[in-house]
Amino acid sequence: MFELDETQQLMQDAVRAWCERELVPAVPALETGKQLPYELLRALMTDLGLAEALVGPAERRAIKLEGGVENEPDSGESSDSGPGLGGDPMLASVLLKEICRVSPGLGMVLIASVGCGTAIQAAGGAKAIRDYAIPIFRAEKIGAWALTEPGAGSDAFGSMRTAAKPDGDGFVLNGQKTFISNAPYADIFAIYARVASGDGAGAVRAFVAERGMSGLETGPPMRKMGLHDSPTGEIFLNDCRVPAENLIGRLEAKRAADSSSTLDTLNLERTVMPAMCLGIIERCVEESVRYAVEREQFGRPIADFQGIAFKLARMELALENARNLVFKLAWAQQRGKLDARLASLAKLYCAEQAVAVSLDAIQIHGGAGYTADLPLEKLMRDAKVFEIGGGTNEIQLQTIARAITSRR
Amino acid sequence: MKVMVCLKQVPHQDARLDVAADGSWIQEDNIKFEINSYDTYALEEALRAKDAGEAEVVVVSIGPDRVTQALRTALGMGADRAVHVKDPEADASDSLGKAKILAAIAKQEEPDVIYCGLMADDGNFSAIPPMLAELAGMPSATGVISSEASDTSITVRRELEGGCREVVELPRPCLLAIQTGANQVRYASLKGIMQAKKKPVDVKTAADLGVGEQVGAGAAKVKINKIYIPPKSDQAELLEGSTDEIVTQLVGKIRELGVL
Ligand SMILES: Cc1cc2nc3c(=O)[nH]c(=O)nc-3n(C[C@H](O)[C@H](O)[C@H](O)COP(=O)(O)OP(=O)(O)OC[C@H]3O[C@@H](n4cnc5c(N)ncnc54)[C@H](O)[C@@H]3O)c2cc1C
Repeated sequence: MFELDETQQLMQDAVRAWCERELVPAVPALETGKQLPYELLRALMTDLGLAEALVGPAERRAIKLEGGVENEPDSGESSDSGPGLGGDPMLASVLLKEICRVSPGLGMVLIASVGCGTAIQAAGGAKAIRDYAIPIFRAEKIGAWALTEPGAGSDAFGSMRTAAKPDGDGFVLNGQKTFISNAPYADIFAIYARVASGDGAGAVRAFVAERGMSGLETGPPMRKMGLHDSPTGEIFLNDCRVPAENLIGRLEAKRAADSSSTLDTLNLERTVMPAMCLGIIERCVEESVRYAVEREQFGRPIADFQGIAFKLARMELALENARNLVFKLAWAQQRGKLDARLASLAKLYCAEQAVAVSLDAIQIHGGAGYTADLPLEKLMRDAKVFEIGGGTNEIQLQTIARAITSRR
Repeated sequence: MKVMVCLKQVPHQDARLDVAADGSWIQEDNIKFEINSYDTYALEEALRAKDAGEAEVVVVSIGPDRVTQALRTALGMGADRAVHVKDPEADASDSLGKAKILAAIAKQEEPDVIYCGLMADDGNFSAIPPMLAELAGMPSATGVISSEASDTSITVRRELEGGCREVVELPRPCLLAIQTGANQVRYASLKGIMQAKKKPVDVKTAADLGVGEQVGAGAAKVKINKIYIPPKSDQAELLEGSTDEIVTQLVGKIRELGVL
């Protein structure tokens, strides 16, 4: 179980070939904002048949719902074979790892868009799946997944102010979202809001809004430390009316379970982010080992100096641990054993190591590592986001601690 | 229609190549391999023939265990089945020996068209396609950049020197050696990858194909004496000065050599 099987290996080869040919040449333009990532996202999803693999299960789910079968939110992406892309969670991990070796930003663009589609597919009705999830999966439309608000970050649910007021056969949304990936350019938004009155009052639900609806506006892309290839921005909701079928899930569910589909998406985020971090770690270790063996100072390869050799050894250890965690996550997902503790500790560890290893990689490369001619300074700036997005390190620690102490 | 595609797995273009200790070949341990770039265009050309109508695409490769990955990739891209000649004697053959093995497969498979890459990224021989065509009794065209099949023949465009093109028609069955850049090579799709493991890979030896006696190191007429990295020459001359001065000196040198 600690090695890629033949199918996963082929996936890795195919994505790597795609990245080498299509993504690597585009990085400078993406990094300087001369190019937006969305054409590449479309190419990625169609060239590698991801669109096809995501649309199939979504269509089956829509047909099932149209046949009047109970709407039981399932784990999302694949209804009959198993969880995740192609029925194997490791395939999505391999895909994201490979993309993030080159461009963690494109990885973020992908998970934000597909995450929106997945949330709709998991708990939405047939019409919402057909109108919104499937076009996202086909990469005809770009999705965004909007939970965070200016006043509600780590305490996204408790402090949420965005409100959904029932109004005739629909809802009226008011509020503001921030730090939302893809928001400046997305077509379809999964927006989390507190139900203002009536059935389910006080509960947080997701509602789909579309660009062009009156009362929905987005801000310009934010200037950030890194992840320049992933536009991030605000959403402003001013009496934005959405039809009833754009409610994802049901109003009347009990409070205890009400945010389960949101938490599913959060857990999903936490299960894919370790693989994204693994991509950064793997690339940094490979580049560093190669450089340390070739670069000579004082008449010897720098890898001969203990100061560098021990750094490399620790980086290798982080790589091994991160890889094992990614395998463990996939194993747990396959067996329905994924819990908050495991998702959080994998995300925490991999994010911390992506930052640490990328910093060490720059150090090993000296001045060259600090320049933008090598990919390392970019990977380091990009790595930092994983300690914040999808729940900060502190929130992951809190989740792990709560999980283990409540077991006593 | 049935088409056969000959694939070679070669060291990855970014692999670090060191000469093996005995100087007979490169050090193959711990390096990555990929499908020879010319062969990916040949495979794409074959898959286009399949997309355009009914065609079974059979991919064939000679080489050790690692070659399975190249064949599975081709299956993931859409080929229907694979033949893997796994036999150290086959690996030790010269180009003619390998062409004999491929010809034996062609005899069994009876393809309407054989697609090869024009040459291999590692060996640069360009020998096997014409040898195989000769052994299989097929007409052939090399340097092919596009092909279009009709019921009985195939029309191809060839790349000539100086940007010229040539259009030739060959009766089927025939062999085409494809140039790089001939087409836009597809990627293996997720669905294709998932199906690849269910597609058959036939493993054979040269003896199974009835050519055991004719191939191998013993039968090879061309032998590699040694592989080496040319010693660095000390004839380099460093030009010094401002950019303008360097350019003036450089142009002077080029004129001296009579290149300009
Ligand atoms: C590039 C980028 C993309 C993003 N994309 C999205 C997206 O697509 N969708 C979306 O909904 N959100 C997105 N986010 C938002 C992200 O999820 C939040 O930034 C994150 O949850 C933290 O919220 P905050 O920024 O408000 O920080 P705060 O919650 O204000 O935290 C500030 C600091 O206080 C600490 N802290 C807070 N509470 C505690 C506590 N109880 N114990 C100890 N320490 C605590 C935090 O760990 C942090 O160090 C994105 C963020 C970034 C940077």
